[in-house]
Amino acid sequence: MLMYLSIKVNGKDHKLKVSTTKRLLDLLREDLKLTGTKEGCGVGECGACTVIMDGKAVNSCMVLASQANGCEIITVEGLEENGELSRLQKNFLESGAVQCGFCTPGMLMSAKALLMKNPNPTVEEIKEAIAGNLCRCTGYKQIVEAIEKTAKEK
Amino acid sequence: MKKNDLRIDGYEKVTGKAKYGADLFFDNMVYAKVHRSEKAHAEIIKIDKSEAEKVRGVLTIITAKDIPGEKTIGAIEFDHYPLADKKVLCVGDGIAVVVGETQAIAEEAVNKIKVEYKELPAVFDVHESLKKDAPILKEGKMNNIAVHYPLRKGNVEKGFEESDIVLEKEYKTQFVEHAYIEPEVVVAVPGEGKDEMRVYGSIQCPHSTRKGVARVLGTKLNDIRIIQVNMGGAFGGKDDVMTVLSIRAALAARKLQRPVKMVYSREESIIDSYKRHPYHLKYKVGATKDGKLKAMKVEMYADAGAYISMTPFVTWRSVVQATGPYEIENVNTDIYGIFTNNPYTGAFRGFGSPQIIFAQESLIDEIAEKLGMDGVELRKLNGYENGSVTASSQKLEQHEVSLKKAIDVVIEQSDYFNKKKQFEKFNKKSERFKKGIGLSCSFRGCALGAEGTDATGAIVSIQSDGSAYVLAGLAENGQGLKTTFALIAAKVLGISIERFRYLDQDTGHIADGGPTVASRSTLMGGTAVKIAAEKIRDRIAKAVLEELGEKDPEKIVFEDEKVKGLTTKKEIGFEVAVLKTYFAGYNLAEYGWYKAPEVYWDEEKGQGPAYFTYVYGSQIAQITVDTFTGKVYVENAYAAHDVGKVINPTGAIGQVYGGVVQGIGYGLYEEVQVDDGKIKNTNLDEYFIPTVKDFGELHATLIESGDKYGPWGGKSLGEPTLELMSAALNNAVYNATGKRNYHIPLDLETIMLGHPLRRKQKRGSEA
Amino acid sequence: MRQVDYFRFDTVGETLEFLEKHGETVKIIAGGSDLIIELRKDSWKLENVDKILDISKLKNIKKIIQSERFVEIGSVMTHSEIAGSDILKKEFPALCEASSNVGCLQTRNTGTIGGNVVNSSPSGDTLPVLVAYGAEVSLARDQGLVRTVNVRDFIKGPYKNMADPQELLETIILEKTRFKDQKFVFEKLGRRNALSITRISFTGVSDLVDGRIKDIRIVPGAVLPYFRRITEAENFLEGKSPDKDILKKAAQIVAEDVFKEVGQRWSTPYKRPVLENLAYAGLCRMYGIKLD
Repeated sequence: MLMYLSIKVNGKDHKLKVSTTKRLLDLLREDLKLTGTKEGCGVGECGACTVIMDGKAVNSCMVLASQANGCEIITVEGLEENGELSRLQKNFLESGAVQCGFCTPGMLMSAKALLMKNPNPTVEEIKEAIAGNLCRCTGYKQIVEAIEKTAKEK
Repeated sequence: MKKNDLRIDGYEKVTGKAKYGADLFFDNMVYAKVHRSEKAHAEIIKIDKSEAEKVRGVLTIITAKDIPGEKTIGAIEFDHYPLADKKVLCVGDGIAVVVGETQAIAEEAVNKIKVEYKELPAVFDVHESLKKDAPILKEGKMNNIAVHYPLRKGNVEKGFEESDIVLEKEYKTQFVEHAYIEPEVVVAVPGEGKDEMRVYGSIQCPHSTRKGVARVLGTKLNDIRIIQVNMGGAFGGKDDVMTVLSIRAALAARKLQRPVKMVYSREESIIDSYKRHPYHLKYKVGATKDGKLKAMKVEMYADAGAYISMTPFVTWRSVVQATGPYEIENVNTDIYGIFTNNPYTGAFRGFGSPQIIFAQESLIDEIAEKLGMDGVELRKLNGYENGSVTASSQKLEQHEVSLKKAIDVVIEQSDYFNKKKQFEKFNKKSERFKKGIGLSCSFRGCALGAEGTDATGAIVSIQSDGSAYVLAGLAENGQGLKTTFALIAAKVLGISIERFRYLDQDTGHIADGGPTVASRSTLMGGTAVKIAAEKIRDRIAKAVLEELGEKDPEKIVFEDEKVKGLTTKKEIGFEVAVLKTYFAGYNLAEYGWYKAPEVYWDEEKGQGPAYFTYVYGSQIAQITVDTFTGKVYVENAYAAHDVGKVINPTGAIGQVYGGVVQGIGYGLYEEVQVDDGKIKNTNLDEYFIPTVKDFGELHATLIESGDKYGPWGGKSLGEPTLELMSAALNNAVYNATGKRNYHIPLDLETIMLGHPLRRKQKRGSEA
Repeated sequence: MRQVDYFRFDTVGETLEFLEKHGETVKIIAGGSDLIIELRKDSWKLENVDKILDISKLKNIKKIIQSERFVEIGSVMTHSEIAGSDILKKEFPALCEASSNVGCLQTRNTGTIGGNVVNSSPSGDTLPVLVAYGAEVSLARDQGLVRTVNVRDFIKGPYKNMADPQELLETIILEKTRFKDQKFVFEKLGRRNALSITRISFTGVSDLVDGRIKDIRIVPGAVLPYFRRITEAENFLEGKSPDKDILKKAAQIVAEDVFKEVGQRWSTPYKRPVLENLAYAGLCRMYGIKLD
């Protein structure tokens, strides 16, 4: 069945007609062509599809698009500030937090959600915030460092 | 951190702009899904497509009958069916490809295909497979041995006689999943020309894939272009399986003349892709009282699964390195790759080394204890140094043998001996937690060695404004190859990597430079890049000679974005120099080609200089064991690796961290559980890779001993970082608990009970 | 994925009215993850379902309220909200601990306590804690019908419970403990430290008065097909001053009692000693007795 919904993504309002069982992930990737958000497992385990929904990090593969009706979403495409990389993004690059890059969008969103709520997180809080984001390349260390560095710069 | 080693592909990766296979959309694109075998060994009697064909929006269903060319592929032997022909050899074998207008249609229809089988006797254990009455899995063969490599040096029997102590132990390792975060994906797009086909995807070895696609489609190689898009990780795992996907999608695209997208779910990825070989290893070692290793006898059985894939190369590396970095006069090694009806096994970061290192480095600790020595002492006593002779009688004299240096680094960093003492004290009085520390070390042959032809190429092209392109025959899998190659060209030309863009990885644009495997990229591809950049540099030097008032091009130096005369102290900007070269009519683009030095191998005796150079490394695991639950937590992991020369510091350190953490997963909890050929844990909620909360601190040190080969002496790093941790963990567990284990993973049950505990598959036989 | 209709109402009343009519063919969702996973598997559980009813935005059941004697948790409160609730931290700290141990942050941000209860999985992390605190669930039905059931009774077995298709789990009701000095523990064992399904858990809650254990409740998790208190161990501990020997003995009773019921299974050689160990370690932690 199809339904209408309105959703704000990266500051832009959208009115869309979607299937009632469509996942938020598919709405972003297929309807809005925001393919920065990735699918790695489809069961809410790897975190590659993490986006920020009403201020909280969620796995967009585990949320129905219909449930996001009226919500505000931020994806990786919404991280740049005035056409420039945000400090978080820059620090990911400078710290070597990116290798294959497939977990990166989700990782960035978990980090962003953390910093929005808690601008001065401890290392333990950083780890807790990204514990639901699997990375197979980096061993996480440089990712944690990038987030730590971003917090310290504030 | 220097800003100029930022990833060349970084911007697109942190903005979501980087396109991976699943992010590609083409006009008129349709979707394909694969119907796979539920049987481990069976004849296909009938494929009933009728119900599936009735689903609205189904466009075609492809089976082996639709294959115009050859029905088999393989990098070493043609025994792998991308679509099962008359038989299935393992669960997960592809039987039919259903193409629908949408993903949902293809998904619905694929479940409606009915296959009628006649089941055949199947075999799931290497030793069962060797028995006389075992079913023969490959037509025309006398047994199920896929490959056997012997190695003979000296006289082991005599060596054991001369030993004061002889120890025999058996070890087992498990099936492991690569678990790249991006599941497999390709899009096959028919070209305009007759028989032309392009395949875009997450493809680790584009030229190998091209061979397979052309072979099965029955076309010439130049009809097929494989274009690698951003790769969400590979670790050796996106080789054969991606050829299979490419063929399946290309067959459909050829028939429909429409772009066909094939995206695997995680479950399909785990079921369809190859794994790391499980090994059964039998070691016998003899030593004198004063700790000299006299003889080692090794017998190994590797489960190849249903297809040969890379088994011969994987097992060959095992036979070369099986006795570790120790000088032993008498060695007798045999390795057998055995066919079974299990999922097939192939390339995986480490490539036949993690298994043997787990066994041999656990064994070294054990015999050291029997000799009343510390494992480190025994390693130092027998470990390779300059001029040592390997098991295959290769004298290590052309490079710095830095094994002991690597050991010293981790010993010092971890405060190994003090911690050992502290932990002994702590463990005596502790009730729940036991602390331990363990070490392992290795040597590793760089690049392909005597496995096969080892040569590769690269293109560097400077534009008239001083910006540049680079492209190599080896591929970016996430490891940072693009950045490293740009850094090499940049260093030669004295410019920053910000000037570089990396060109599309397209088999039509660059020659076949062999596979991106064996940690050969920096060493082989890097040298090719350097050769290309140097040729351009020399031409620029020639073009600006007069301007800078120099007579000898040797006196022209390239640094800080400038070209300078060494004697005249005159200098011009790089752009000016490029423009001068351009107007002089010199070629500012160049193709570099590098062929590895000669190596050879006597297959009968297992003797010869297997690799032209080696790297050395050592790792330490410092752990806490919860004796209440069996949980092992890595408090600190220390790694020291000699890479010859560091090209990209941030990237290199990242390789170490990533490899160490994969090694922790391999040692502690990763295992693909295969029951009667069927995988039980098919997603990441059941196959456990480490999260950020599963270990403490990682400490990495890169040693630079240089080498006569490689760019400025740069060698290999990717694989050595993974191969050492499982043995270090096993030794640490013994140090903590006083109990030795002989298999991995060291999961909760193993630590508590001393053996793994699995649900028995057969009903009524629950223990 | 199959085609279904999606419904979301502004009030509990409308929701109940809808359920009364269509309960048999409705799948209620809050966080939504269970549904998506079942859709992915094309699960038989959805065979008769052609409607999704989204209750996640129902304001009346998205809050925590307290009276003098009770705390009522709306069923669509997420694990994150529960873990961060000051009321709960004060009154029912073990519940906050359990909620903060669920899966990972993303899961906790969407997954709800009601979902955990209704899913009735033997490894559901909040369930043993709710049983320890003697929680009740209130099940509402159209026409103002409400019944309250003890969580202990509500869960009938793995993924089975007492809720009728026409009923909505509205709130979880907890009676305040009135403990003078609440001691609590939630020990969770998983193969990983995050993203982990609970292999075994141990929940303990009690008062400590003049150094003596009072009103203790002990509930193991993921070892029985449902959740219950281990009264034998509780009775043993009641009134005693906690020390290692006593707690060890209690832990033995816990393991004995559980495995008398479970019998010998493939996992018993591991689970039995580990449950005992975890109970012992948990009890020690609960009473601040250090274990190295």
